Amino acid sequence: MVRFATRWFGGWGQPHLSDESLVELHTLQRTGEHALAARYQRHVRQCESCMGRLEALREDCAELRRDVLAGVDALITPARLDRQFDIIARRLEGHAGRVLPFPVVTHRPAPAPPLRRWIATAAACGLLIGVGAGRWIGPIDAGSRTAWRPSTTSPTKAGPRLQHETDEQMLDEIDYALTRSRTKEFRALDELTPRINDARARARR
Amino acid sequence: MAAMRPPGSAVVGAPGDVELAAAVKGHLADGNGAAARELYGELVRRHQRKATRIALYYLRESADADEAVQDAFVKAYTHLRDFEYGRSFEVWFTRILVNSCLDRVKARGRRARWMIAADDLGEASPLERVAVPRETTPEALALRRERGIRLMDAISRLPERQRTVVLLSQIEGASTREVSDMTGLRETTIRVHLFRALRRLRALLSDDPAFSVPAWRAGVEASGKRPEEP
Repeated sequence: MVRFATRWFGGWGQPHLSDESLVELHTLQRTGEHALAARYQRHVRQCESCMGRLEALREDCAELRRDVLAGVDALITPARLDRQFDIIARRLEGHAGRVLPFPVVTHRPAPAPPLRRWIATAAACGLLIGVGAGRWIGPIDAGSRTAWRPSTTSPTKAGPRLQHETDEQMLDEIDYALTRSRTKEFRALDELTPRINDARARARR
Repeated sequence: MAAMRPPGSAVVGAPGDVELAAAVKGHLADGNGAAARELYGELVRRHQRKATRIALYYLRESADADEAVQDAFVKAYTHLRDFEYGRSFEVWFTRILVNSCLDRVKARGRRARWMIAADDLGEASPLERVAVPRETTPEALALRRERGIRLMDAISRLPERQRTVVLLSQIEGASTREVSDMTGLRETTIRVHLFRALRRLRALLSDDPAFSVPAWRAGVEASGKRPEEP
Protein backbone atom coordinates (compact mmCIF):
# COMPACT_ATOMS: atom_id res chain seq x y z
CA MET A 1 0.00 0.00 0.00
CA VAL A 2 1.00 3.61 -0.51
CA ARG A 3 2.38 5.19 2.61
CA PHE A 4 1.35 8.56 3.94
CA ALA A 5 2.48 11.20 1.44
CA THR A 6 5.71 12.96 2.36
CA ARG A 7 7.07 15.93 0.46
CA TRP A 8 10.78 15.35 0.85
CA PHE A 9 13.26 12.69 1.90
CA GLY A 10 16.99 12.58 2.48
CA GLY A 11 19.12 14.59 4.86
CA TRP A 12 18.71 18.26 5.65
CA GLY A 13 21.72 19.10 3.52
CA GLN A 14 20.60 17.11 0.48
CA PRO A 15 16.81 16.83 0.31
CA HIS A 16 15.04 15.17 -2.61
CA LEU A 17 11.48 15.22 -3.78
CA SER A 18 9.42 12.26 -2.65
CA ASP A 19 7.58 10.14 -5.23
CA GLU A 20 4.32 11.86 -4.28
CA SER A 21 5.82 15.30 -4.81
CA LEU A 22 7.32 14.23 -8.11
CA VAL A 23 3.94 13.00 -9.36
CA GLU A 24 2.39 16.23 -8.11
CA LEU A 25 4.99 18.30 -9.93
CA HIS A 26 4.50 16.38 -13.15
CA THR A 27 0.72 16.73 -12.90
CA LEU A 28 0.94 20.44 -12.24
CA GLN A 29 3.18 20.91 -15.25
CA ARG A 30 0.87 18.88 -17.47
CA THR A 31 -2.20 20.85 -16.45
CA GLY A 32 -0.48 24.19 -16.99
CA GLU A 33 -0.27 25.10 -13.29
CA HIS A 34 3.25 26.47 -13.46
CA ALA A 35 2.80 28.91 -10.59
CA LEU A 36 1.91 26.09 -8.23
CA ALA A 37 4.70 23.91 -9.59
CA ALA A 38 7.32 26.63 -8.99
CA ARG A 39 8.23 25.54 -5.45
CA TYR A 40 9.24 22.07 -6.66
CA GLN A 41 10.62 23.40 -9.92
CA ARG A 42 13.26 25.45 -8.11
CA HIS A 43 14.57 22.36 -6.40
CA VAL A 44 14.48 20.20 -9.53
CA ARG A 45 16.55 22.75 -11.46
CA GLN A 46 19.32 22.42 -8.91
CA CYS A 47 19.08 18.69 -8.19
CA GLU A 48 20.35 16.36 -10.88
CA SER A 49 18.87 13.28 -9.26
CA CYS A 50 15.37 14.74 -9.05
CA MET A 51 15.67 16.11 -12.57
CA GLY A 52 16.52 12.62 -13.83
CA ARG A 53 13.64 11.08 -11.95
CA LEU A 54 11.23 13.71 -13.27
CA GLU A 55 12.37 12.99 -16.84
CA ALA A 56 11.88 9.25 -16.29
CA LEU A 57 8.42 9.85 -14.84
CA ARG A 58 7.53 12.12 -17.75
CA GLU A 59 8.59 9.48 -20.28
CA ASP A 60 6.79 6.75 -18.39
CA CYS A 61 3.54 8.73 -18.29
CA ALA A 62 3.84 9.81 -21.91
CA GLU A 63 4.34 6.25 -23.03
CA LEU A 64 1.40 5.06 -20.99
CA ARG A 65 -0.77 7.84 -22.35
CA ARG A 66 0.26 7.07 -25.95
CA ASP A 67 -0.61 3.42 -25.43
CA VAL A 68 -4.01 4.24 -24.00
CA LEU A 69 -4.84 6.75 -26.75
CA ALA A 70 -3.65 4.52 -29.56
CA GLY A 71 -5.50 1.55 -28.12
CA VAL A 72 -8.80 3.43 -28.05
CA ASP A 73 -8.09 5.04 -31.43
CA ALA A 74 -7.69 1.59 -32.94
CA LEU A 75 -11.39 1.05 -32.30
CA ILE A 76 -12.34 4.19 -34.19
CA THR A 77 -12.07 3.07 -37.78
CA PRO A 78 -12.58 5.43 -40.76
CA ALA A 79 -15.70 3.47 -41.68
CA ARG A 80 -17.11 4.06 -38.23
CA LEU A 81 -16.42 7.78 -38.44
CA ASP A 82 -17.99 7.96 -41.91
CA ARG A 83 -21.11 6.18 -40.70
CA GLN A 84 -21.31 8.50 -37.72
CA PHE A 85 -20.82 11.54 -39.94
CA ASP A 86 -23.61 10.45 -42.29
CA ILE A 87 -26.03 10.04 -39.40
CA ILE A 88 -25.13 13.47 -38.02
CA ALA A 89 -25.60 15.02 -41.48
CA ARG A 90 -29.00 13.36 -41.86
CA ARG A 91 -30.10 14.53 -38.45
CA LEU A 92 -28.99 18.08 -39.17
CA GLU A 93 -31.05 18.04 -42.35
CA GLY A 94 -34.05 17.10 -40.26
CA HIS A 95 -34.26 13.43 -41.12
CA ALA A 96 -34.18 10.63 -38.61
CA GLY A 97 -30.68 9.33 -38.04
CA ARG A 98 -31.61 5.73 -38.53
CA VAL A 99 -34.40 4.55 -40.81
CA LEU A 100 -36.39 1.73 -39.32
CA PRO A 101 -38.83 -0.18 -41.54
CA PHE A 102 -42.36 0.27 -40.29
CA PRO A 103 -44.53 -2.86 -40.32
CA VAL A 104 -46.93 -2.70 -43.28
CA VAL A 105 -49.39 -5.42 -42.23
CA THR A 106 -52.54 -3.81 -40.84
CA HIS A 107 -54.01 -5.18 -37.66
CA ARG A 108 -57.61 -6.37 -37.85
CA PRO A 109 -59.49 -7.29 -34.69
CA ALA A 110 -60.43 -10.94 -34.57
CA PRO A 111 -64.19 -11.53 -34.76
CA ALA A 112 -65.62 -12.23 -31.30
CA PRO A 113 -67.41 -15.57 -30.89
CA PRO A 114 -71.24 -15.23 -30.68
CA LEU A 115 -71.51 -16.72 -27.17
CA ARG A 116 -69.13 -14.10 -25.69
CA ARG A 117 -71.09 -11.37 -27.46
CA TRP A 118 -74.34 -12.62 -25.85
CA ILE A 119 -72.80 -12.61 -22.39
CA ALA A 120 -71.54 -9.04 -22.84
CA THR A 121 -74.95 -7.87 -24.04
CA ALA A 122 -76.70 -9.53 -21.08
CA ALA A 123 -74.29 -7.91 -18.61
CA ALA A 124 -74.82 -4.48 -20.16
CA CYS A 125 -78.63 -4.93 -20.02
CA GLY A 126 -78.44 -6.00 -16.37
CA LEU A 127 -76.43 -2.94 -15.51
CA LEU A 128 -78.90 -0.62 -17.27
CA ILE A 129 -81.89 -2.24 -15.55
CA GLY A 130 -80.15 -1.94 -12.17
CA VAL A 131 -79.38 1.75 -12.64
CA GLY A 132 -82.95 2.46 -13.88
CA ALA A 133 -84.57 0.59 -10.97
CA GLY A 134 -82.34 2.38 -8.47
CA ARG A 135 -83.40 5.75 -9.80
CA TRP A 136 -87.06 4.77 -9.80
CA ILE A 137 -87.07 3.50 -6.19
CA GLY A 138 -85.11 6.52 -4.94
CA PRO A 139 -82.73 6.83 -1.97
CA ILE A 140 -83.27 4.54 1.01
CA ASP A 141 -84.44 6.19 4.20
CA ALA A 142 -81.58 6.99 6.58
CA GLY A 143 -83.46 5.62 9.60
CA SER A 144 -83.81 2.22 8.06
CA ARG A 145 -80.09 2.13 7.43
CA THR A 146 -79.13 2.92 11.02
CA ALA A 147 -81.24 -0.01 12.17
CA TRP A 148 -78.70 -2.35 10.74
CA ARG A 149 -75.89 -0.98 12.92
CA PRO A 150 -75.01 -2.93 16.04
CA SER A 151 -76.07 -0.95 19.10
CA THR A 152 -73.49 -2.37 21.53
CA THR A 153 -70.50 -0.39 20.29
CA SER A 154 -70.25 3.39 20.42
CA PRO A 155 -67.75 4.34 17.75
CA THR A 156 -69.23 7.84 17.51
CA LYS A 157 -67.84 8.73 20.94
CA ALA A 158 -64.38 7.16 20.89
CA GLY A 159 -63.65 7.10 17.14
CA PRO A 160 -63.03 10.74 16.14
CA ARG A 161 -61.11 11.52 19.31
CA LEU A 162 -58.89 8.49 18.89
CA GLN A 163 -58.36 9.34 15.27
CA HIS A 164 -57.67 12.93 16.18
CA GLU A 165 -55.02 11.84 18.67
CA THR A 166 -53.37 9.48 16.25
CA ASP A 167 -53.39 12.19 13.54
CA GLU A 168 -51.77 14.62 15.93
CA GLN A 169 -49.26 12.00 16.93
CA MET A 170 -48.47 11.29 13.32
CA LEU A 171 -48.03 15.02 12.55
CA ASP A 172 -45.81 15.38 15.61
CA GLU A 173 -43.73 12.53 14.35
CA ILE A 174 -43.48 14.14 10.95
CA ASP A 175 -42.42 17.44 12.51
CA TYR A 176 -39.83 15.66 14.62
CA ALA A 177 -38.54 13.78 11.60
CA LEU A 178 -38.27 17.01 9.62
CA THR A 179 -36.14 18.66 12.27
CA ARG A 180 -33.58 15.90 12.16
CA SER A 181 -30.45 16.57 10.11
CA ARG A 182 -30.92 13.64 7.75
CA THR A 183 -34.12 15.05 6.30
CA LYS A 184 -32.88 18.55 5.48
CA GLU A 185 -33.81 18.00 1.84
CA PHE A 186 -37.49 17.78 2.73
CA ARG A 187 -37.60 21.10 4.55
CA ALA A 188 -38.29 23.09 1.40
CA LEU A 189 -41.16 20.76 0.62
CA ASP A 190 -42.39 21.05 4.17
CA GLU A 191 -42.39 24.83 3.99
CA LEU A 192 -44.63 24.67 0.94
CA THR A 193 -47.11 22.42 2.73
CA PRO A 194 -49.84 24.31 4.67
CA ARG A 195 -49.78 23.70 8.45
CA ILE A 196 -52.83 21.95 9.86
CA ASN A 197 -53.21 24.47 12.72
CA ASP A 198 -53.11 27.40 10.32
CA ALA A 199 -55.72 25.72 8.14
CA ARG A 200 -57.96 25.11 11.14
CA ALA A 201 -57.65 28.69 12.35
CA ARG A 202 -58.51 29.95 8.90
CA ALA A 203 -61.54 27.62 8.75
CA ARG A 204 -62.81 28.91 12.13
CA ARG A 205 -62.61 32.49 10.92
CA MET B 1 -20.95 38.75 -33.70
CA ALA B 2 -17.32 39.60 -34.25
CA ALA B 3 -14.92 38.87 -37.10
CA MET B 4 -16.94 36.41 -39.14
CA ARG B 5 -15.16 34.97 -42.09
CA PRO B 6 -17.39 33.91 -44.99
CA PRO B 7 -16.69 30.51 -46.51
CA GLY B 8 -14.40 30.42 -49.50
CA SER B 9 -12.79 33.74 -48.71
CA ALA B 10 -9.05 34.19 -49.08
CA VAL B 11 -7.57 32.67 -45.96
CA VAL B 12 -4.00 31.65 -45.36
CA GLY B 13 -4.29 28.10 -44.03
CA ALA B 14 -7.46 26.50 -42.72
CA PRO B 15 -9.74 28.67 -40.60
CA GLY B 16 -9.76 27.99 -36.88
CA ASP B 17 -12.63 26.37 -35.04
CA VAL B 18 -13.89 29.65 -33.69
CA GLU B 19 -13.96 31.26 -37.14
CA LEU B 20 -15.73 28.23 -38.58
CA ALA B 21 -18.29 28.25 -35.76
CA ALA B 22 -18.81 31.97 -36.27
CA ALA B 23 -19.31 31.44 -40.00
CA VAL B 24 -21.86 28.68 -39.30
CA LYS B 25 -23.69 31.05 -36.96
CA GLY B 26 -23.66 33.69 -39.66
CA HIS B 27 -25.15 31.34 -42.24
CA LEU B 28 -27.79 30.20 -39.78
CA ALA B 29 -28.70 33.82 -39.05
CA ASP B 30 -29.04 34.43 -42.81
CA GLY B 31 -31.27 31.39 -43.14
CA ASN B 32 -28.75 29.60 -45.32
CA GLY B 33 -29.03 26.17 -43.73
CA ALA B 34 -27.26 24.24 -46.47
CA ALA B 35 -24.10 26.35 -46.25
CA ALA B 36 -24.22 26.23 -42.44
CA ARG B 37 -24.44 22.46 -42.47
CA GLU B 38 -21.61 22.19 -44.98
CA LEU B 39 -19.29 24.27 -42.80
CA TYR B 40 -20.40 22.56 -39.64
CA GLY B 41 -19.46 19.27 -41.29
CA GLU B 42 -15.88 20.49 -41.30
CA LEU B 43 -16.05 21.11 -37.56
CA VAL B 44 -17.53 17.65 -37.05
CA ARG B 45 -14.71 16.07 -39.04
CA ARG B 46 -12.12 17.87 -36.94
CA HIS B 47 -13.45 16.82 -33.56
CA GLN B 48 -15.16 13.55 -34.34
CA ARG B 49 -12.30 11.22 -33.43
CA LYS B 50 -11.54 12.83 -30.10
CA ALA B 51 -15.24 13.02 -29.29
CA THR B 52 -15.66 9.32 -30.02
CA ARG B 53 -12.66 8.53 -27.86
CA ILE B 54 -14.12 10.45 -24.92
CA ALA B 55 -17.47 8.76 -25.40
CA LEU B 56 -15.74 5.38 -25.43
CA TYR B 57 -14.05 6.14 -22.11
CA TYR B 58 -17.43 6.64 -20.54
CA LEU B 59 -19.67 4.26 -22.42
CA ARG B 60 -17.28 1.56 -23.55
CA GLU B 61 -17.56 -0.07 -26.92
CA SER B 62 -21.26 0.18 -27.63
CA ALA B 63 -23.82 1.83 -29.86
CA ASP B 64 -24.38 4.22 -26.97
CA ALA B 65 -20.97 5.80 -27.53
CA ASP B 66 -21.71 6.61 -31.17
CA GLU B 67 -25.16 7.88 -30.30
CA ALA B 68 -23.75 10.12 -27.57
CA VAL B 69 -21.33 11.65 -30.08
CA GLN B 70 -24.10 12.15 -32.64
CA ASP B 71 -26.39 13.70 -30.06
CA ALA B 72 -23.64 16.04 -28.89
CA PHE B 73 -22.87 17.29 -32.41
CA VAL B 74 -26.55 17.81 -33.21
CA LYS B 75 -27.11 19.57 -29.90
CA ALA B 76 -24.07 21.79 -30.44
CA TYR B 77 -25.40 22.75 -33.88
CA THR B 78 -28.84 23.62 -32.59
CA HIS B 79 -27.36 25.64 -29.69
CA LEU B 80 -24.61 27.27 -31.70
CA ARG B 81 -26.15 30.68 -31.06
CA ASP B 82 -25.08 30.25 -27.40
CA PHE B 83 -21.46 29.77 -28.41
CA GLU B 84 -19.50 32.91 -27.69
CA TYR B 85 -16.86 34.09 -30.08
CA GLY B 86 -13.44 33.99 -28.44
CA ARG B 87 -14.07 30.84 -26.46
CA SER B 88 -12.69 27.48 -27.50
CA PHE B 89 -15.16 25.51 -29.60
CA GLU B 90 -13.52 22.28 -28.50
CA VAL B 91 -13.98 23.07 -24.83
CA TRP B 92 -17.57 24.20 -25.36
CA PHE B 93 -18.39 21.11 -27.38
CA THR B 94 -16.64 18.76 -24.94
CA ARG B 95 -18.85 20.04 -22.17
CA ILE B 96 -21.94 19.12 -24.18
CA LEU B 97 -20.43 15.73 -24.98
CA VAL B 98 -19.46 14.91 -21.39
CA ASN B 99 -22.97 15.78 -20.21
CA SER B 100 -24.45 13.63 -22.94
CA CYS B 101 -22.21 10.72 -21.91
CA LEU B 102 -22.99 11.13 -18.22
CA ASP B 103 -26.72 11.16 -18.96
CA ARG B 104 -26.33 7.90 -20.80
CA VAL B 105 -24.21 6.40 -18.03
CA LYS B 106 -26.98 7.24 -15.56
CA ALA B 107 -29.66 5.86 -17.85
CA ARG B 108 -27.60 2.72 -18.28
CA GLY B 109 -27.32 2.39 -14.51
CA ARG B 110 -31.09 2.60 -14.20
CA ARG B 111 -31.56 0.02 -16.93
CA ALA B 112 -28.94 -2.26 -15.42
CA ARG B 113 -31.13 -2.77 -12.40
CA TRP B 114 -33.65 -4.53 -14.59
CA MET B 115 -31.73 -5.88 -17.53
CA ILE B 116 -28.45 -7.60 -18.33
CA ALA B 117 -26.09 -5.12 -19.99
CA ALA B 118 -24.61 -5.95 -23.39
CA ASP B 119 -21.16 -5.50 -21.87
CA ASP B 120 -21.79 -8.40 -19.55
CA LEU B 121 -22.54 -10.67 -22.46
CA GLY B 122 -18.97 -10.81 -23.65
CA GLU B 123 -18.46 -7.51 -25.46
CA ALA B 124 -15.04 -6.27 -24.44
CA SER B 125 -14.47 -2.73 -23.22
CA PRO B 126 -12.12 -0.51 -25.24
CA LEU B 127 -10.41 0.18 -21.96
CA GLU B 128 -9.57 -3.48 -21.81
CA ARG B 129 -7.98 -3.47 -25.22
CA VAL B 130 -5.34 -0.82 -24.90
CA ALA B 131 -2.28 -2.21 -26.57
CA VAL B 132 -0.07 -0.81 -29.28
CA PRO B 133 2.69 -2.87 -30.71
CA ARG B 134 5.67 -0.53 -30.79
CA GLU B 135 8.23 -2.76 -29.15
CA THR B 136 8.96 -6.05 -30.77
CA THR B 137 9.69 -8.40 -27.88
CA PRO B 138 6.66 -10.33 -26.73
CA GLU B 139 7.48 -9.58 -23.09
CA ALA B 140 7.57 -5.82 -23.66
CA LEU B 141 4.34 -5.96 -25.65
CA ALA B 142 2.65 -8.00 -22.97
CA LEU B 143 3.82 -5.63 -20.23
CA ARG B 144 2.65 -2.54 -22.10
CA ARG B 145 -0.67 -4.08 -22.83
CA GLU B 146 -1.02 -5.11 -19.23
CA ARG B 147 -0.12 -1.64 -17.95
CA GLY B 148 -2.66 0.04 -20.19
CA ILE B 149 -5.37 -2.37 -19.14
CA ARG B 150 -4.61 -1.99 -15.44
CA LEU B 151 -4.43 1.78 -15.64
CA MET B 152 -7.76 2.15 -17.41
CA ASP B 153 -9.33 -0.40 -15.12
CA ALA B 154 -8.13 1.62 -12.12
CA ILE B 155 -9.43 4.85 -13.71
CA SER B 156 -12.80 3.26 -14.30
CA ARG B 157 -12.98 2.49 -10.56
CA LEU B 158 -12.63 6.14 -9.58
CA PRO B 159 -15.65 8.20 -8.56
CA GLU B 160 -17.36 9.94 -11.48
CA ARG B 161 -15.84 13.41 -11.07
CA GLN B 162 -12.36 12.15 -10.36
CA ARG B 163 -12.59 9.91 -13.41
CA THR B 164 -13.72 12.77 -15.61
CA VAL B 165 -10.92 15.04 -14.40
CA VAL B 166 -8.23 12.39 -14.87
CA LEU B 167 -9.43 11.40 -18.34
CA LEU B 168 -9.70 14.95 -19.60
CA SER B 169 -6.52 16.29 -18.08
CA GLN B 170 -4.12 13.36 -17.96
CA ILE B 171 -5.23 11.34 -20.97
CA GLU B 172 -6.69 13.99 -23.28
CA GLY B 173 -4.18 16.63 -22.20
CA ALA B 174 -6.56 19.45 -21.21
CA SER B 175 -5.35 22.13 -18.81
CA THR B 176 -7.03 22.76 -15.46
CA ARG B 177 -8.77 25.78 -16.90
CA GLU B 178 -10.06 23.83 -19.89
CA VAL B 179 -11.30 21.01 -17.66
CA SER B 180 -13.03 23.64 -15.57
CA ASP B 181 -14.78 25.01 -18.66
CA MET B 182 -15.65 21.52 -19.85
CA THR B 183 -17.12 20.34 -16.58
CA GLY B 184 -18.40 23.53 -14.99
CA LEU B 185 -16.36 22.82 -11.85
CA ARG B 186 -14.12 25.42 -10.26
CA GLU B 187 -10.38 25.14 -10.86
CA THR B 188 -9.67 24.55 -7.18
CA THR B 189 -12.23 21.74 -7.16
CA ILE B 190 -10.57 20.22 -10.21
CA ARG B 191 -7.20 20.28 -8.46
CA VAL B 192 -8.66 18.58 -5.42
CA HIS B 193 -10.33 15.90 -7.56
CA LEU B 194 -7.19 15.41 -9.60
CA PHE B 195 -4.87 14.92 -6.64
CA ARG B 196 -7.34 12.70 -4.86
CA ALA B 197 -7.66 10.66 -8.03
CA LEU B 198 -3.90 10.38 -8.45
CA ARG B 199 -3.46 9.31 -4.86
CA ARG B 200 -6.20 6.74 -5.27
CA LEU B 201 -4.69 5.50 -8.53
CA ARG B 202 -1.33 5.12 -6.85
CA ALA B 203 -2.97 3.13 -4.09
CA LEU B 204 -4.85 0.96 -6.58
CA LEU B 205 -1.77 0.31 -8.69
CA SER B 206 0.91 0.16 -6.02
CA ASP B 207 0.61 -3.59 -5.56
CA ASP B 208 0.29 -4.22 -9.26
CA PRO B 209 3.33 -6.01 -10.69
CA ALA B 210 2.94 -4.17 -14.01
CA PHE B 211 3.61 -0.89 -12.18
CA SER B 212 6.10 -2.09 -9.62
CA VAL B 213 9.34 -0.19 -9.18
CA PRO B 214 9.42 2.14 -12.18
CA ALA B 215 12.72 3.87 -12.91
CA TRP B 216 11.61 7.24 -11.53
CA ARG B 217 10.88 5.92 -8.02
CA ALA B 218 13.26 7.33 -5.44
CA GLY B 219 16.51 5.38 -5.08
CA VAL B 220 15.63 2.72 -7.62
CA GLU B 221 18.52 3.40 -9.99
CA ALA B 222 21.15 3.64 -7.32
CA SER B 223 20.54 0.82 -4.91
CA GLY B 224 17.38 -0.95 -5.98
CA LYS B 225 15.56 0.08 -2.83
CA ARG B 226 14.27 3.35 -1.45
CA PRO B 227 16.29 5.37 1.02
CA GLU B 228 14.78 5.98 4.39
CA GLU B 229 12.53 8.97 4.77
CA PRO B 230 13.12 11.35 7.66
